[in-house]
Amino acid sequence: MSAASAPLLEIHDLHVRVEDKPILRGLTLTIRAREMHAIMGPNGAGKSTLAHFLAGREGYVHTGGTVRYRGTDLLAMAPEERARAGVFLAFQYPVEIPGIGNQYFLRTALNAIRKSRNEEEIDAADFIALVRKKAKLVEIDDAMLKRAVNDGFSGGEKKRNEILQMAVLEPTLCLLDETDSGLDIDALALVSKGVNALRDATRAFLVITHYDRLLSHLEPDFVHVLAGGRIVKSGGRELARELEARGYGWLEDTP
Amino acid sequence: MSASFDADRAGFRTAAAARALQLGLPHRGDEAWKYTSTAPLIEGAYAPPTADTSRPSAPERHIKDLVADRVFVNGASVGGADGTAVSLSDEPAHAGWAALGTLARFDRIERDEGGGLIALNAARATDAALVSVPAGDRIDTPVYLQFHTSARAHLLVSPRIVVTVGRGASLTLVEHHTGVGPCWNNAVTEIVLEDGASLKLVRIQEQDAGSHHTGATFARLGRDATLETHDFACGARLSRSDVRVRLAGPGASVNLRGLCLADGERHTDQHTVVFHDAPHTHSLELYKGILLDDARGVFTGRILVEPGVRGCTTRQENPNLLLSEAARIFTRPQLEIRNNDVKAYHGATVGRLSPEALFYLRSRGLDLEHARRVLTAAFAAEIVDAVPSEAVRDHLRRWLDHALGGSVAIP
Repeated sequence: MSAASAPLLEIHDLHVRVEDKPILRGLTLTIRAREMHAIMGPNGAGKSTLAHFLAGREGYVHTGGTVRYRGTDLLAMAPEERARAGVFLAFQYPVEIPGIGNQYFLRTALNAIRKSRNEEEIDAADFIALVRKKAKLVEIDDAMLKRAVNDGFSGGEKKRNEILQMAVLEPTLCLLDETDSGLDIDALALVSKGVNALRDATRAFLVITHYDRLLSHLEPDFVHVLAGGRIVKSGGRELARELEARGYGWLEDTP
Repeated sequence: MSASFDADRAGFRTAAAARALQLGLPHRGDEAWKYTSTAPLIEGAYAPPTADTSRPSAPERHIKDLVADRVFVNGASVGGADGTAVSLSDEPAHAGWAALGTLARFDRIERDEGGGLIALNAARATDAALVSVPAGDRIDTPVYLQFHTSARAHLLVSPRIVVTVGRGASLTLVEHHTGVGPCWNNAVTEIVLEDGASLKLVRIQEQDAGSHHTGATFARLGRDATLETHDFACGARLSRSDVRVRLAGPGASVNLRGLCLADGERHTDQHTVVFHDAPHTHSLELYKGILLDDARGVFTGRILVEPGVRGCTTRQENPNLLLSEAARIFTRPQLEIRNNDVKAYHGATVGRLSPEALFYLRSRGLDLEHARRVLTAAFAAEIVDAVPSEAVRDHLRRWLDHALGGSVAIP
């Protein structure tokens, strides 16, 4: 690896509890720019906890280990500071916000991030051109941009909307939490197309999923199995196919 | 003006004054005033304007882009722009005190339903606004009435509006109360909708926090008439608004909407009563409350359906948002339904901003304060967005933005 690909995210021996229950128990993972990592694993293994904890959600107790993002302590940052530094979580269950237009919300978020970087607010016309271009990628039309954020959206529409937000905000580290759940084959292809369009040398992805079918669209560089709060096996793309065929049972006894 | 007119007017006022004295101001022993004390109104020793009261000619605020049809300052009409087919109070042939007969009709409503505040208004009102739409006319441009009070001494001002909409006619009316300084505005709006008539009434109270407001709207609806009200309680230290609707003709329907936003130590009471007097009448009600700091809010939604009045529907919702630990809301759905042939629903909730939604917005780069403002504006948007005038919606959005701490630029 060259010096240019210094780690974007370094998770070392991470321990996290929810109330009194240990969820993450010594998780270690390093992600570099350009890479896509997939995390699979049985229900309750801590996959979603990892994604939410990295985005800064409240309700988790950090009991040990470190998380460094671009060399700085990610855990010391508020959720909005993480977002402004380029961390983006695509939610498994995007929140409905009646009363706030989708396009308005996108502009508000983009401007909040630009402002934090001492950049000027985006010009209204430029923004509309930008959002239309990005929306086309995931087939979101003007009507959907005018509707309230996720309000009454179908499962597939919500996930496409998450990818649109990601495309507009152009984060550096994209966390995708079960973005494939509840999607039919067409929607899955659309969402995958949107994600793949964002892959470049400066950006990295952490994709959480139960199923190989999303990964067949995304072709991740690394596949990890999360079980009992730590990564118990890592491999390439072929590991996902093996898991799909054999389940997780054969890994239970892995130390 | 004729001698007999002046005599009628004097007689009307004397009778009202006697009634006001006899009834007194409402007190907390009255069920309808259980959570709101009128003590600040009494303690303030508010007095009506006199010839010496200064009358600034231009109010500080009004809704831009709307024709100011009539502006009243400290109770007196200071003119306005013409340009609509609606006649107003300085047209003696159609309006003003020449319409005493119309007022007398409401005398009965006052006696039956009104308390001392309504009688006090009748005794003290100077210039009334009379808006009457002849049968069949449709007034598309909203008629805008602004009542502005600017007080140095403790001033009692008594705005009075009388609205009649003839058979099959329609009107949109904006009633805007603004006030600065130590004043008490005690307003009364009387509405008669003839058969098939339609009225959309937007009522905005945004007096400053050093003033008080009590306002009562009485409406009587004929057969198939429709009324839509949008009651915004945006200001004043003590604010009480009553909306009392009689669905007197079969097929009449009312849609009551309201929003209160109170901060500091303000107290806001919105009180609604709907009488389903005729069969197949319908009422729909959505009031929202947003309370900050140490503010108090009260909502009462009373619905009455008598035995034998069949085929009515009523739906009432009152969601509230508390934005501080100390803020309180008292919400009282009061359904008095005395027959089985009624479809009724009511729901009241008191909540806080959803932690999930706050996290969602923060994860997109908005700081906590910004996220709170955006979500609060979103909560209010359902009420603001339904207002039937773009200019008024814009005004309300600017006000909301300002009230929530600025620069949200609500969509």
